[in-house]
Amino acid sequence: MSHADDLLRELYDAQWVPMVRLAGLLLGSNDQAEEVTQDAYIGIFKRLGRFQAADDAVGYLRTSVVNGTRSVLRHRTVVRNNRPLPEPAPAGPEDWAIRRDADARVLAALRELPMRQREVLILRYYSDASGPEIAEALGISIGSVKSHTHRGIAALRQRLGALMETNDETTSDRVPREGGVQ
Amino acid sequence: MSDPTNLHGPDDPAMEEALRGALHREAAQVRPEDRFDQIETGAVQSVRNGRMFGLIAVAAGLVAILGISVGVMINRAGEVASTAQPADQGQPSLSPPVPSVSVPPSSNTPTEKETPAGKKLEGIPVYWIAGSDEYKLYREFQTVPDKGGPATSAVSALLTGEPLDPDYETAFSPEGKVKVTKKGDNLTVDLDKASFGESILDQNQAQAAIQSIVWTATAAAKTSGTVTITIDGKPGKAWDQVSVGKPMKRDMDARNDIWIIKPYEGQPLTVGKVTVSGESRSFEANLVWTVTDEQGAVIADGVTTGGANADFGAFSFSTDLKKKGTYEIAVVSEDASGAGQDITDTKTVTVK
Repeated sequence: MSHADDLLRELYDAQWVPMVRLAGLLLGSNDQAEEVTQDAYIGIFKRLGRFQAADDAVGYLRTSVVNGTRSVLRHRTVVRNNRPLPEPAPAGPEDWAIRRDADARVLAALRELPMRQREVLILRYYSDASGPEIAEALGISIGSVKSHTHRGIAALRQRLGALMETNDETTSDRVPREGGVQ
Repeated sequence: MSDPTNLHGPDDPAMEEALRGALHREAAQVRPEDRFDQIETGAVQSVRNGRMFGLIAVAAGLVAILGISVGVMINRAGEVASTAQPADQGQPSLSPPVPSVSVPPSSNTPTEKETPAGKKLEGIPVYWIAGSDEYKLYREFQTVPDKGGPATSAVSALLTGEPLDPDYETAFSPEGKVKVTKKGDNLTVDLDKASFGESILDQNQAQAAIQSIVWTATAAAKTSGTVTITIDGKPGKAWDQVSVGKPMKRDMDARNDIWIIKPYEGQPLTVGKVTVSGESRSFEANLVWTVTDEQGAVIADGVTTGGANADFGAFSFSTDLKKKGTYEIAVVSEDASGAGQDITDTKTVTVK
């Protein structure tokens, strides 16, 4: 086993699931998330030798996943007007159904944002990536990360204002932050 | 891991928590299947393919040495100039040179002629976009399928082609269709709605993408005239961001301030001296260059000069690549004010 082989296994064990999930969120669907992430892993293999540890390659892998999702989106023609509505709230306990409904609205509003705002928000609030990490993944400055975050959250607030006022109690059911992208 | 809310984040904790919760709950529903075996197999295969690509590229390079390809460059004043391009500056698929370039006659005759199916056009200039905060244009010469003349074929490459340099991209969709017609010196580029992909980020990228059409069409058609872009034959708004339908000229600020023209991305080289050349404009003409090896170590660096301030000019420098391996050559215009960003272009080459 070469150094690159070892790093590939380590990087896979630590990052495969979160990276597929990140790709799914960036794509707005999961149908090509595994393919995009698989391609990112294959693409990074040739360069793995330059990294000392798998952790050092996470930023590069994340950038590859982001670029892969952009490529997929480029191949999709504009279908904004035909996008399916958010899924209806599933049956179940009332509070759970309300939360699912709130989530669906938040995610639908997120999908309406310009792509870069969407990318910044997903990397920040799903991957818990830092400003510099987001800047590296998207090839933008830290200042731009801040401004896209501000604009994105403000746009979501504008779209979801009424919902947020009525669901603040529901959404205050906070999700414990993951340990970040390992 | 840093706390995202530390970065002067928006003062809207309820919205942030709602978004964080929605994203995590949505993501948690995804249970990816195990694909390690496919990844491992694909990784090994990609390394093999890379070696095979190198051999093919060497063979193509030998063929290309037999001739000189000529590209078209339109300078800042807008006039057409022919720019001799050594054959080894092209892409790996570059084959015999395109005919010499001359300024087209300004008659009112359509010039996009139908050509036999399956034919390819060589040395076609294609302007891709790339950027971080600001998108800029970068030129490559490509061999492209003939879709009915150089201009239509070149613009089609923006839809269906791929840049050699992975740093470059296009905003157009391969699902689209394009037709370029020429009247006098002026062009009309008609794109269908499907040409406008979904990946446009903001108005800056949309404007750069529109300029990539303008620069590509005029260079391929060898004209310094105007370009009128239409959507399904009518004026419209590209990506709901940029109005099209009126004659446009090249925006000279659309191109990146640094272009490495030689060597091209992925060019196979032999051990020894390599000369890097291109065009640039930078504060007091200053440029910094570095060569980085596969381990990320800078093995050579230096300074050179190109065009000063507003005027583009040529730069050139040489360096010794003493060992086999893959190297990244970077040319950087460092931000003098400290308030902006460095401007750069990079090329990856392989020494065999």
